Amino acid sequence: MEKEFIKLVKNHEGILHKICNIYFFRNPYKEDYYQEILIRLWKSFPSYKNQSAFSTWLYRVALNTAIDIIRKQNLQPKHTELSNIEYSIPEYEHNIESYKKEKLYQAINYLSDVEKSIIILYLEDYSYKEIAEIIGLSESNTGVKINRIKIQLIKILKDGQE
Amino acid sequence: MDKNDLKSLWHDAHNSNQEIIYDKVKIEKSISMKHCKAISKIISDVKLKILFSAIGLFIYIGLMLYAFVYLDLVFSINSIIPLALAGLFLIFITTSEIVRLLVLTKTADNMSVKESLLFSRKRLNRIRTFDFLSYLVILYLSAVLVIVNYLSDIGGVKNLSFRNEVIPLPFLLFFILMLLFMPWFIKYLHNQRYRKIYFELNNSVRILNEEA
Repeated sequence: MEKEFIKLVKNHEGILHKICNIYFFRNPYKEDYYQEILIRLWKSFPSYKNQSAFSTWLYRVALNTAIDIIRKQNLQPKHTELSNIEYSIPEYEHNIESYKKEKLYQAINYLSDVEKSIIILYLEDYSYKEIAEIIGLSESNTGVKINRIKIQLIKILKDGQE
Repeated sequence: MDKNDLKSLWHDAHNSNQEIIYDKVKIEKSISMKHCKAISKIISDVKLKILFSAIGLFIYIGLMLYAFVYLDLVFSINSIIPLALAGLFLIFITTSEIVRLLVLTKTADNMSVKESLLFSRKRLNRIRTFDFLSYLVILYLSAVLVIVNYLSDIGGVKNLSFRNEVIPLPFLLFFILMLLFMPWFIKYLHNQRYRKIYFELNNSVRILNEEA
């Protein structure tokens, strides 16, 4: 089972990276939380019964874990020293793709946790039906929400902030 | 910018392979762990609090057994009530921390995001209610004890003095009122403590519940 899990996760590592980058944007514990998502995926793996695509299941568990980690941080707030990540100035002068990515991530960071999860799924080309299944909404409601979030996101990108 | 540009922007941004920053994290090693370092630290802090309160509770139980069973001491009801309240308080502290640990460790990862949020909110509400009711019982019992002691003047409580001044009745009334209002004050403190979590949870649930 372990080998099967590792193989499946390795095939979908990109998804996990994106979730971590979105939810733990400029967070010094990003790597640590990535590890926590892996642990929680492994713990939940026995309940995965091929009812849905592996990526759908992976998204659901990873998004729930990311939101839960943020909640735990709020439950036990503690003062931590700023790491080099907070001090560093992003080096994207020579890389237009990095610059675009940084701007997009910054904009997404203004959204609420649940809006983030909806927009990631949309940007990752998931169908409304799949998004509705992962989030727990009706398909029509999902469409409306995606439209609202897109408008909000474009406004943030244009204005610099909401 | 058009709405459909977002997808192309997203895909463009992720075309280059710059995200290999997690290469250090090995899946095999990770899945052998219970939690990552940061979460482990949070959980071990709560476990430490449980340990301390449990030690306090065991010492209390030990002392009570020694006094009432081994030494066969007989106390008056007015002496037993404060002791019982102290025990109740220790039980409450221990249970409260255990409940907090459960909140930190119990998860609903396999549910949909909305169900998972509702599950978490329900759990948090349960903790808040439990904390409030516990404080309510302990502090109201303490208030009753003070009133009973005063009315029956046990131990000459009516003439208790502070720096040779007899404690005035208004001071005692203020103390009793303070005990009676304390649960709501603690509720307020809890609201402040959990405000950020509740805000996020309620906001997320509200967004998901909004009709199309």
